[in-house]
Amino acid sequence: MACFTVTLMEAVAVSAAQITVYALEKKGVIKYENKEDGDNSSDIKWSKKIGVLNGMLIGGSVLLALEHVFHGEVTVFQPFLTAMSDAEATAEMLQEMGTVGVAMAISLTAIWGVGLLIYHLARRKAKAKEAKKVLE
Amino acid sequence: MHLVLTLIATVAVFFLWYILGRKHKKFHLEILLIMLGAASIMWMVDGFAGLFGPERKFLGVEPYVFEAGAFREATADEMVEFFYAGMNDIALGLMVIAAALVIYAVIVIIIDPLNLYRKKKEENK
Repeated sequence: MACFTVTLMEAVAVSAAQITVYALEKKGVIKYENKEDGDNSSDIKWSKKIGVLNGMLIGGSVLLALEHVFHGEVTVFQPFLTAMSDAEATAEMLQEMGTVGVAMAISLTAIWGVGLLIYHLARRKAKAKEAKKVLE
Repeated sequence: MHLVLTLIATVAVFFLWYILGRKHKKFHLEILLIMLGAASIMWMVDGFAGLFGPERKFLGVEPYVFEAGAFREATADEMVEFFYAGMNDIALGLMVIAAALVIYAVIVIIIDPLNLYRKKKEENK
């Protein structure tokens, strides 16, 4: 009914976080080992990592919104969501947002987190290998 | 069915990104991959929620009916209904993939990876 709005709201919060992190990177508060762009050995900037989550949230929400338009659940006129026209449907919509919508947001964030964890573990492993080579 | 179609598109774009992504970084194929992948994950969550719903269906168009706590085979009329629901869902899936491609195309035009517009602008100057 309106489950995509939950991920859209998260996207707004994540966008704010991304802008803040980007500003901190520009000021030099957040530092990286190798700052050169295009350098494969350099660490990916946090603003870019958060950008991936943002892309997932916005991209997924847009496509889901399209599905809702297809099913006639979203309109261009007020109240924009057809479920808002009566109290019973609104309650059902809020329940769906609280269950399915929140589950969608959590699963997207969790998958992003797992991807990030794998990236950091792989990077740590590569660094350890490099250090071993230097010592030898 | 829209979930199945989006998943197929996600896998196809993943292989395209895996094969061509590194060579042609400028085209940012990951944007399309992230968009379709995220939508697939969200619909999968929706599908799992549907399994615990009143119809007990993952895709929403499965040819069986859950009634009075038990599954039963669909009648001929219900099968026709499911068939049209499935066709409708296929149309939705194709529309979603087309929309994702259009959004990606617009982003690529804005990014202008081959500097076509910038070059033309400079030439005009």
